[in-house]
Amino acid sequence: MDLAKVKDEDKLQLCRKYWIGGFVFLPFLWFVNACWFFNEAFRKPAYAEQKMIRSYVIRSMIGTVVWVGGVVAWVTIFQLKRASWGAAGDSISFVIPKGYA
Amino acid sequence: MATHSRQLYLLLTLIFLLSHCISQVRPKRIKDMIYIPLEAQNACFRLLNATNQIGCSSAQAGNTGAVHYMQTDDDMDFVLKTGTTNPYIPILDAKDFTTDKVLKLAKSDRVNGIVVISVNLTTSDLPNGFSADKSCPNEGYGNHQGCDKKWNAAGHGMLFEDLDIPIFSLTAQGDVDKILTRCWEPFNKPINGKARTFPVCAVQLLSPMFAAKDAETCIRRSNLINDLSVTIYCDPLGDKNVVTTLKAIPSNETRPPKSVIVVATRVDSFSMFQNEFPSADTTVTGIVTLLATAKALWKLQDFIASQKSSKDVMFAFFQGEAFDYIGSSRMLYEMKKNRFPAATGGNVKLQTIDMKHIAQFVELSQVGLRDQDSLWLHVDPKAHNQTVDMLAKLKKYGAASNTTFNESPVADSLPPASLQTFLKEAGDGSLPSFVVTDHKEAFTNKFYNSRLDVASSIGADYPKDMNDTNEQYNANTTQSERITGLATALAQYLFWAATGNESTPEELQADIEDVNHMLFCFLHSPHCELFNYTISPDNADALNKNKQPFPFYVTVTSSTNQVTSLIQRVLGYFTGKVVNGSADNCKVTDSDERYSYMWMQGPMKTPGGSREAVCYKNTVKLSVAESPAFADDMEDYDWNSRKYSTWTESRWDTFTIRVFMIPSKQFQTQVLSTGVIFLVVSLVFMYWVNAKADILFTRTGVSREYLVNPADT
Amino acid sequence: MTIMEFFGCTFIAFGPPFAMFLFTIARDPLRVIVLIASGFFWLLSLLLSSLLWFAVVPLRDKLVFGLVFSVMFQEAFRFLFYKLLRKADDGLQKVSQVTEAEHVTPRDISNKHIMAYVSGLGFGILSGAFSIVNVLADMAGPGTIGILGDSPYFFLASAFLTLCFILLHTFWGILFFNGLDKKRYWMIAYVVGTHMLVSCLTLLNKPTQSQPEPLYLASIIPGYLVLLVTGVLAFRTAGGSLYNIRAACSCRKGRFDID
Repeated sequence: MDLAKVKDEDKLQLCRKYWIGGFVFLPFLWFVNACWFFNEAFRKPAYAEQKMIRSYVIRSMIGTVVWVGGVVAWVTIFQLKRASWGAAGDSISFVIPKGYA
Repeated sequence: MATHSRQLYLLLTLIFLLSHCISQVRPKRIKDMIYIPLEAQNACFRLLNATNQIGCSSAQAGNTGAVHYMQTDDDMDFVLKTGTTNPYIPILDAKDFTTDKVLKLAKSDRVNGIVVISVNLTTSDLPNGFSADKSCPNEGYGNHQGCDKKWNAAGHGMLFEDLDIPIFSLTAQGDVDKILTRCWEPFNKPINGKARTFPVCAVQLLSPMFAAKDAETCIRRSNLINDLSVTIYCDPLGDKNVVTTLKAIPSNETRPPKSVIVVATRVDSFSMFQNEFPSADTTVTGIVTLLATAKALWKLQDFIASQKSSKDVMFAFFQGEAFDYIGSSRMLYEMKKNRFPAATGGNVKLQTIDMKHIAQFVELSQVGLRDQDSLWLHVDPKAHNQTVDMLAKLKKYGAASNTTFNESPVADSLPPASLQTFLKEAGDGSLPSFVVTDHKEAFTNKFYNSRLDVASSIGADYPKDMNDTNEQYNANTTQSERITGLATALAQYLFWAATGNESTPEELQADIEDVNHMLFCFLHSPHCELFNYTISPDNADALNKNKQPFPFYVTVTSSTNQVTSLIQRVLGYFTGKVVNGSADNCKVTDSDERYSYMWMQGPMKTPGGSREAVCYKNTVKLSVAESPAFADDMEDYDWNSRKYSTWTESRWDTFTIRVFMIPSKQFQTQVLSTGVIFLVVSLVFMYWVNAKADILFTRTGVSREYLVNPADT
Repeated sequence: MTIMEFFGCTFIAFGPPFAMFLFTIARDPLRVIVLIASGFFWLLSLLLSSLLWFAVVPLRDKLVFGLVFSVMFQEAFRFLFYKLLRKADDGLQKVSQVTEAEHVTPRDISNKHIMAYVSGLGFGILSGAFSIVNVLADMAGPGTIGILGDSPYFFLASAFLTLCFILLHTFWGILFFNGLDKKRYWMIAYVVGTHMLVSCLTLLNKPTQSQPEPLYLASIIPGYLVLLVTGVLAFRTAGGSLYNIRAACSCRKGRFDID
């Protein structure tokens, strides 16, 4: 969709929907939102809805960063500690490597 | 656009199909120009118990290293320190394959694996012996805790180290030629003392194991269904025990306490490498003696059974004993659950046997290499008083058949034996028992549980000029004479122990021919008359495909070992009676589950001709020999209790070994950087060409047909 | 073959064609279709060659026989593809019509060199893929060639030869199509002749009794010489000249001049 052809109030609605959608464990929506509306939020000349769009974009960015941080932290911990968790570690692994503890 | 993508899809499908057809007609692969594969399948693999993983494994993609043939101590230094084409995979002669050298190499980062040459093994190469087992075999699982005597002096527990590198053994001369004359000598062997540089010849060892850490972990993972499929990481070690009872007491008669004499030996051994489990002195001497004894004693089966007061005699061949007494501990477990011997149904079963029924326990251990030309009787010190009479009788019968018995001076400890399992259960001195061995104190067998425990080391080989297998099959050897004497003495002793009759009937003699045959079949070639006679016609083809002796390693529980089946058949033949029957009705028909029926190929009608199958009725049974730790009705077994064996064998896909050349890092870097430069330069160049296409490809006076439309879309 | 050599050789053989594809083909669906279709025609020629090889049992181990016929089949299918393209001109024109202005002929159709180039590249990429993928597939392991006495430069030579053939096919495509369009039959003769020549030169790469060391350079150097000549010819045919190169190199100024 070409944002240039969308009315300002529809832009806000779209941005808002992406922001809300991200809450159902869809952080990628936030990431898309942050990228897609970045120009609208920060680089376009001011218009009425821009303030709210900017707010949603910033919130989406924060959400993305939190998610990425969370996932990276979990993956790191899981990879380092899986073996020492024993049975618990095995039961939450999808693929158990062959030949390693 | 839809039509575009449709066409595209069709085209791609066609291309795929075509390329697939074409790839079927490929004459020679580049692969064959790079790699020389070796045939060896004899790799060291990984075993796991409750606390450890032991043995070897390569990385999942295999381990590669430059070949270096170790001949002098300088080579050790070269591989571990000075060589520049590291990592290495040293090639060792059998005599250098010692625990300290292997550990030294395995610990180094510069060593990626080891290959040992096992062609034409002779025990004289290793004057100090070699045993893959610990100096205290089965330590901690016997009647005595800890290691109170180093029975296996030659053992330094090489297999019980977690080596974490692959180790292969080469048993074919062709493989040795490939690695030494086509790889080491032309490319790697130093010229005038000067080491070679890249490209050098390397070997890749691929023996990746699935399981890791310990048995509990790998069993648990095998039971998980995480990625929508089941992957088995390891299987419990185990097989079947072979048992037979002389009196066949039915379940509707009572079995008096202390009325069963157990005569046992162990069947399995191990070594470092898959397919190399010869076990000549470790177990074959005991197995053959016990089978010959059974045949002799069964000549008087009817007489013994007809006497109400006589004791029953049970012959037991235990499997898995080399791995913390798997077979005996499972038999005891079944006894305690009151279901030994197992029965599947039927109106009449064999009356069960329990610890309280056992009157005495006689075990044959290694009996081939006699210390001071005598056999040595090891007695549980706590039961010593009750065995005085027994030992005296055995000595007496031994003297009559040229077999000397003496009591071992080791008073406070028993050698590793299945008896230990039963003594542990019986408690203080309540089980009169002894173990017959060939060693006064520590083992005389310097190759206990190793690939060098071969026929020649126990004097069961044949003169050099005797090449005819028929002649070998019937030839007397020093070992067969000894075993016959021992079997005769033992049979007479058992007759006395069962009936109380001191005078022995004349026919109670073991037959040296049987012993000759069995030694040939178990140690030289399973393609022999005795095995062919006893095997079921269905399995004859499989038997005759094997030119090598069958391995004595217990392996995993999923199938019955060939050795176990053959012992079962030979025992059934020695102790059974011929009954009328055909292939279809040679089975239990009268719901009398005491008896087994075996359909055997039988004798040849004419020499070398077809056979006339016969049906043998006997009391030979298989009983499960899987550690109780893995039994179905075992709940919440404490893995760290050390009560039962917990050994499991890791699974693996394939063993592969191949030799090839590896280039220098410098050459590889040059190729890669050339490629990257080509890519980058052409990207830049094509970008420029594309951007300037209008200028580059314009010509004045071009014909109308080739006119570039200035109204460029 | 180690992983470094694997990528090195892949980049050498397919780096330039990849760049050509990326900047000149990928963005235009019509060109992609023509590329794949021409590749398909090359495959058909391979199929026919292999059928012949399969059918003529006594000559199976004579490499020359298969090679000569394979070259002839390839050129025949190049001709067939040319015929097909010319027949499909109208259709292609309709398909690639993006603007509504009917009277404007798209450049791809008006400049016939473009489609010649695309179909040449399609021939090249497929032939290149088939000549080196077998080699690359077996390279993935830890070893390199040489234990049987083969030259360590086998892989490099294969990669460079493959690149040579991919580019040659591209240039041959331009010359061949132009020759047919303009009835300049010497061009067609040149294409078939050089194709046969360079292909036969690769026979030198096979070690024989009399000559155990393969002469990689004996096929690569003449191969690249032919490539140079063919490239210059193709460039000139497509409208290129030294003047144009100079103009293109002189950057913005030259561009303004032309405009």
